[in-house]
Amino acid sequence: MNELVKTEDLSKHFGGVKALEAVDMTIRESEILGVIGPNGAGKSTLFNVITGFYQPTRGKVFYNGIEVTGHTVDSVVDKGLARTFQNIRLFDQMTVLNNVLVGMHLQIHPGILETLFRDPGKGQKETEARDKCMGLLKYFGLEKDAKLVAGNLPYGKKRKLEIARALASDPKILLLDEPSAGMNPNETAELMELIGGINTKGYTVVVIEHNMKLIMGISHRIVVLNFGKKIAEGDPAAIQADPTVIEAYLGKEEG
Amino acid sequence: MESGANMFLQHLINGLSIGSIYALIAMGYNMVYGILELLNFAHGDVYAVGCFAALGLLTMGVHPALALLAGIIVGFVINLFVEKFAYRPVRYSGRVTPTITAVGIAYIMRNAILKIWGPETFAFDIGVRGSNLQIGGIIIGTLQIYILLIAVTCMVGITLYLKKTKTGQGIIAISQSIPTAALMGVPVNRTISIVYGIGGALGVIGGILFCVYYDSIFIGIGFALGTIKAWMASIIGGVGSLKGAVMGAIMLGLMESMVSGYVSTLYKDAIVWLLLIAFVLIKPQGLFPAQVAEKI
Amino acid sequence: MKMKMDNRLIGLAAVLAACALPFVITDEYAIRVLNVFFIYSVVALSINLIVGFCGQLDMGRAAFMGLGAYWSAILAVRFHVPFLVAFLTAGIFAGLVGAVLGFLCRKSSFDYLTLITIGFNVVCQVVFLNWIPVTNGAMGIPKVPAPSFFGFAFDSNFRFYYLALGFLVACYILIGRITKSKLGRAFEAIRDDAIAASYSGINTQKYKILNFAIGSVFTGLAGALLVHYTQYASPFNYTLDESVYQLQMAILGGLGSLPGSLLGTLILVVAPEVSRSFYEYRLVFVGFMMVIMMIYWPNGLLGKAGVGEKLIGIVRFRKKEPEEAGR
Repeated sequence: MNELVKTEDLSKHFGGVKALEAVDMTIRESEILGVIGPNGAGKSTLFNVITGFYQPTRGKVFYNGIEVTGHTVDSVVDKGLARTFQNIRLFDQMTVLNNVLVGMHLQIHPGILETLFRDPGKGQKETEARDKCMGLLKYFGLEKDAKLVAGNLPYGKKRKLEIARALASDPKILLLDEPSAGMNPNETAELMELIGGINTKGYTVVVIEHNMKLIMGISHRIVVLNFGKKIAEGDPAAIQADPTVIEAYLGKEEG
Repeated sequence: MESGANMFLQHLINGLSIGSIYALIAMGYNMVYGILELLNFAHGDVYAVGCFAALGLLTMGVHPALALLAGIIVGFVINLFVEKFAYRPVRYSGRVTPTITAVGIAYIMRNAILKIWGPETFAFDIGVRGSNLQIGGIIIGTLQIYILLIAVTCMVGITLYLKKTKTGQGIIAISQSIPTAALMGVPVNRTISIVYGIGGALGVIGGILFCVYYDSIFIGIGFALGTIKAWMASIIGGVGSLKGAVMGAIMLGLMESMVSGYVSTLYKDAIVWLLLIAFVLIKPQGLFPAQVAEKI
Repeated sequence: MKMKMDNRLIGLAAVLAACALPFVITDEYAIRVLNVFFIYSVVALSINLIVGFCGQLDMGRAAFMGLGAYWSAILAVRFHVPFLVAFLTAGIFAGLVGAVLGFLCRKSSFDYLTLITIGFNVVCQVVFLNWIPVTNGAMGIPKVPAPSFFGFAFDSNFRFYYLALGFLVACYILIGRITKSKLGRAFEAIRDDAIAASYSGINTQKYKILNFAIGSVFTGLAGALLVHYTQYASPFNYTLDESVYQLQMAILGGLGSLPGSLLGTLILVVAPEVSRSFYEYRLVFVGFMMVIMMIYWPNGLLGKAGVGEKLIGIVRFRKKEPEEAGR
């Protein structure tokens, strides 16, 4: 299977703290990869370094064989990654529809002349983009909220909107950072179906989660981090049986 | 050359004097900034009210020590007041809103002073005549020595206060993370009030020293000579750290003194600003920035 | 799309009414005030674009008015450059300076940017006042010719009214187009969450510079047009106080609302003309306005959930739909 992302000896130190240390991992095409580990294990840091938000202290990141270490976030994202955030980062004062349209930023290319001298909203690329975004909103059940201000949405819808925005850029890989945080079991089950559906459509998904039921339920493969290091890797059954993993969690299972 | 070296030393001493005044003002400013990371636009104008209050009492014949103390208290209290009624309601409303509020307060304070005292310059006479010491070829005013001593005492005092007292530790906790500090039991509102109060008091002390040094007081000591200097000091020294504020202020004082002495007094302000803009290009975080990693 | 049609009709009606106005109100003084209002509206719109739509708190806008003004005045008076060329190149000049300043500050935090804009305002002021060979210092540059092109001179208040109105309408439409386009969305995304914006593929540095530059083009044009109206370039018109007053025009109307910028400017231009005490105390008034508005109505008069919307909400009591963003 094609390795979409590969890290080599990836490390990120903050002063004396080794948030990531010598992590070698891959993200394979079409899989759902789970990333788990106790609090502070470095999961979000991994996302941050892979996507260029943090520059690694050591090591390399490859996307489709091309090295992207040191690239800026917008450059890495252009290669086909999209992500959501632990603490939801929406454009609070913009409408729901506009939030998703921003996700399409790299896909829409109006010329300067078209912007200034033609009514935006009538340009062909703009209309097509809007249609596509409305389609995405429909998939997530948000089409009625298109004109609402994103900051006013209830929590569950905000999470969905974030994922919709990420999908708008038609990424190869979708990175979800603790998407089930704050959700009840019903919503979590709905989320699992959603992720499965997205994956079936051809998106590679990487999920950071604390909810074991969710992770074990949807992942094809799991990577386990602890204290910044990768301590295990394998399919859900293997991970659940792995003594190193069990020890890292001290037998605590959540979810 | 003998007199060249003397001139340089003279500029150096003058720069240190004015720099230590700026350091007090910048300390007061940075204490507040370190907590909420907002440009306290009104810092100078609020402490200017304290200075003018002192002036008012002095002209009424009140004993200088009392007048100055009253001025410091006025600065302290006004900042408490402003924090509670104008800043607290917008504390968590993003960046633009609280900054604008501070601008509003600045203009209100400034114009209150203008209405009462007018734009003229007044003598600031505290009944103490400094004398001059001559060491080698340079002149040091006893006033300059006092200013340096007072400034250093205040700085040491504040540093000790932050390290050794419970409230001081609370202030440090809040400047790192308000929610965490709250969870640890730090009384957030009260502590922030105290920070503003101390910031205002330090500002008044700095302002008073400034007025005594130049034996004059006018409306500009607030914004133009206070707030803006505090900003400049932060640009050089780094934002969010008291050490940075002090170092930046002293360097600013030296810079001004040198530019004034060797280049031009007319273009002093513009040149210093250009130097600062250049500084922003080369070392945008300043020389001694507080280390914070952004988490998302 | 009924909402859009409504807005356009209102806009068209307003422009037609404005065209007819000088035939109804023939008082020269009132026309003068309106001319000044039209020009400052463009300044407020440019501030709205930079501060309101992109979240870059620029507190030294007046400097860019001055740059546009002096450029145009110097070209027109010293080099006898025709108005249109002087005027349009003034906008380009201001835009370029904006681009350079934006580039220098591209990695600066929110606060540093504000500080730098203040510093830039101060530096410009000093230059305007002291670079005598170029700006003529405190004497300023008198006898700046009234606008004229294609053989037609706009040398009366009445004639200038239509030029200024046309200028405002053109700028309003252009800025409106920008805000509704991908560019405008990128600006807003940067304002709301710069990190998420970069994760959407937006090169935040590039767009912030672009925003600053585009906004400055409009500010520069307004400054240039004004100086051809007053026919005198003075170094005392581009102070920090001026910048703050202009900022308040955009804030009062509501950052993020284009009609709001017009309303805020109208109020702050007309009020000091109508009331002597407002003029004397205008900075205090602005100070109080800022404090009170930020606490109670941070979105200004016509911004989202602003005072205007609250009033309309009371009027349209039968509205059952949830709060609409309406843009």
